[in-house]
Amino acid sequence: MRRVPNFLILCLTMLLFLSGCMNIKARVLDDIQLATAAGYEYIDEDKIELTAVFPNFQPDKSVKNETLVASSILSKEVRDKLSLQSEKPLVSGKLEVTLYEKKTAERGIKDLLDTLERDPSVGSNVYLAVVDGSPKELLNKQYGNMDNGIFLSNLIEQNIESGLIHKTNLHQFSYKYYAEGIDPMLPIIEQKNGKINLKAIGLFDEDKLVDQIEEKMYFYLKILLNRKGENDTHAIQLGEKTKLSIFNISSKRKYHIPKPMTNSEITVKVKLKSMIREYNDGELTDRKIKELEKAFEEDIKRNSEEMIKQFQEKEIDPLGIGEEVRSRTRNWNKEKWEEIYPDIKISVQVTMDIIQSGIVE
Amino acid sequence: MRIWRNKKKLDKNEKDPKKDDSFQVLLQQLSESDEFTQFTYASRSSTLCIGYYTSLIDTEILHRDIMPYLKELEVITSLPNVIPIEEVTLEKDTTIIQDQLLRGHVIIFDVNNLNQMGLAKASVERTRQVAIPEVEFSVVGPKEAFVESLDTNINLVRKRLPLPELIIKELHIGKISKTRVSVLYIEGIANKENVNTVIQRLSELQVDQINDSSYLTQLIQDNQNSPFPQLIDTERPDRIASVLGEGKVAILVDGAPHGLIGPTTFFEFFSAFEDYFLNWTVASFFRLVRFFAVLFSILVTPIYVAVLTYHYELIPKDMLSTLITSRSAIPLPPIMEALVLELTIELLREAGARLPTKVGQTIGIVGGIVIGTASVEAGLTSNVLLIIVALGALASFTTPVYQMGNTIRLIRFPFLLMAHYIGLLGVAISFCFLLIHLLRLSSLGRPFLEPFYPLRVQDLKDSLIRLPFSKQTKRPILEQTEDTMRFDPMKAKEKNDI
Repeated sequence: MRRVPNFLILCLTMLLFLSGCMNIKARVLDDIQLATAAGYEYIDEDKIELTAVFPNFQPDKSVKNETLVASSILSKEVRDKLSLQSEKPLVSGKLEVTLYEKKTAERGIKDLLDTLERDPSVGSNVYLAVVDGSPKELLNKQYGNMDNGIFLSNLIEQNIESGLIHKTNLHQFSYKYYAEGIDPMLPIIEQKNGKINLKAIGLFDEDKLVDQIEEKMYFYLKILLNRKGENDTHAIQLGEKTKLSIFNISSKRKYHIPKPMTNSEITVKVKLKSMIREYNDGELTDRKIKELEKAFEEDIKRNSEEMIKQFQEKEIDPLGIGEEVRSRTRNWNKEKWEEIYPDIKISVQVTMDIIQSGIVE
Repeated sequence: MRIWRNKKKLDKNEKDPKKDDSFQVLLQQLSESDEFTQFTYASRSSTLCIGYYTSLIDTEILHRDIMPYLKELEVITSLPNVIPIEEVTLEKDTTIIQDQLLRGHVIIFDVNNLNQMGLAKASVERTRQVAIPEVEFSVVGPKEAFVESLDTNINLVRKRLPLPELIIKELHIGKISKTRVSVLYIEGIANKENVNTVIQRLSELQVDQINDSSYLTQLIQDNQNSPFPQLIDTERPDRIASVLGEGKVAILVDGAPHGLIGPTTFFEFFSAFEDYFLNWTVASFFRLVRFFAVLFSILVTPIYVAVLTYHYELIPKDMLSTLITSRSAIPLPPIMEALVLELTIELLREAGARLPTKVGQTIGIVGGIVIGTASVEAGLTSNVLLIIVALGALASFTTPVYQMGNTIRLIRFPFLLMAHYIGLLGVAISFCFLLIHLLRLSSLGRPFLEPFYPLRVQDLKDSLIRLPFSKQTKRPILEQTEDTMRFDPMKAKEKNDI
């Protein structure tokens, strides 16, 4: 006789306390419209135009890319408007990529990000990107046998994995946005001859796009950005004929900050272990390798320092130097740091070690 | 308390029997059955009456070992000395006489002297030969399985354990079947508490018939309403011999080709005895595969239903197209689709089990191939779910103990319904209930989830994995054995290899 009331009590308690959890609506997979990408653009002062992409799965296993466009003042309200055009309810849980038009990004994307951060069904591994051009046009075209959300997500993911661009997603963006002493970066894509191209990396001041660095500078940015790196590739030309490309087996970056929160010099030490991927100036001897190491060290040092200078002029800190300083001092003060940051001398020291030169003897 | 009171009443009933004590009445009652043969035989000094059940005795024994010697019989009391059979007794008590007659004895008595009756054992047992185990088949290892005869079964165990300490206690259970039930244990290893629990539960049983050992499992296990069996049944005499050495108690039932083992744990149900014939690395791998199979079999369809109904976010982007295209033409919601397929598999299994082997195979092929393909082509089920359900069913058949396999097949249905109503939360809640239930279970009073709860690190070496024999120096803690060491580990290390 004891067991039954116990069981009932348990059931009742669960009904009482877990009733919040019961408020879930069934959304059967084939009865919903899965938005996989969204493009945002301000069309006037405070009206947003939202382009939503969803895949239309054909019975013959091919996928058709379809888009819906609507505009309103709030992005969730746009979603309701989009639903008016759709046969099935539009859901945002499978969102892979969100795109922001360049002008919109220059205006600031914080307000547009809010809905992504607030929605529990949107993951934090959504890729963000800036579009040079109209996101509506870019998303309207089909680029492969998949919808554009999956296509763009694969494109960005592939490039992150192969080491061409830095890690970036909603989580990284939000972290860098909210953290003191570091500013976010996002890839900039463009549509060119019916193809999508990762054109540059956009640099943000808070949530506003202020500058960009071109493709040839990705390498310097990457080795300076992460404490440990690998898989980077880089090519340089020395003199007239000597061209070579290296593959970075491992890179280590260390900050040397003797007096944090002062004007004194900050040194960034970078150690690289690389292998030669391509070389087209005759035979490689040990002496030549030494020379090449030297040349590389100089090249990296010059370009990196130039790049940091460029950041300092724009008063942005995508490398997170401020964060390094913050972790080394008790007297962190955001305002003071922003004041002194543009004038600090930041130098880069590079040690290059070519440990392999391929299997050609 | 209630059980106890019932028992008292029954005892009283038995105490005032309407039976007449007199032997004549018994004889009258016996001869009512046409099968009871009775004839008189004149010996040198007296007229003897001989009676027996024709079906129960071996006529060859009667003709060869009993009849020729009766001629010389002087008085009935010298019967044991005259007849060259070991079991010849003199009895007065009619109940014993009746009992013995029904077990294949021949009654011999002097028509003029009804005080002493001679009983000679001439029973014949018609039983099948010891055959290959079919339920717990193993490729390597002994290929003997129990048969329906208790004596043969005990012989199969005893020849593996030639020990005077192997004790066999015999009880008779069942008001009308009076089934012989033997409790086996090794004195000095098995904990007396376990033995007494078994004997007490058996002797207090109030049933009319015991037709198989599975009756006993259901009657004496700790929680009789649980879908989980709490005693292992096995048809392998080597398994029984092995676990007796671990300190467990075994029960053999006359007429049942399966013995019972207790106390046991949940994890022992997933160890096939073949595991002990294989190298420990291979055996451990197989065990882990089996545990994976159980979890997979219970959870895979509910998770499919939950994800498709509530949690589309969880589907990897590369699988979206496969899932959606396979479901696009299906009119049923995921739960109906899953239930239809699960029930189809259950139907196939049930039909296959009820039909003769040859027909059963055909049904399996017809069901598996024709129904499966046709339902996908007709657009009733998605092919992804078809694969999932078929794999789940396959996984549930890996459980070595048949009774546990059935349980695994049953408990996925509540999971499925909960998954439909509240998604993965429902699956989690169901799993909690399952875990709570398993934690509450016990086998002969020993915790069912040992060695994980309570944690007994020493017993882990023969649970999810099986470590080599040289590491299994101690008997499991679960049984609380009197002699805890299997062998001396120090001596085992001494090796006199040349």
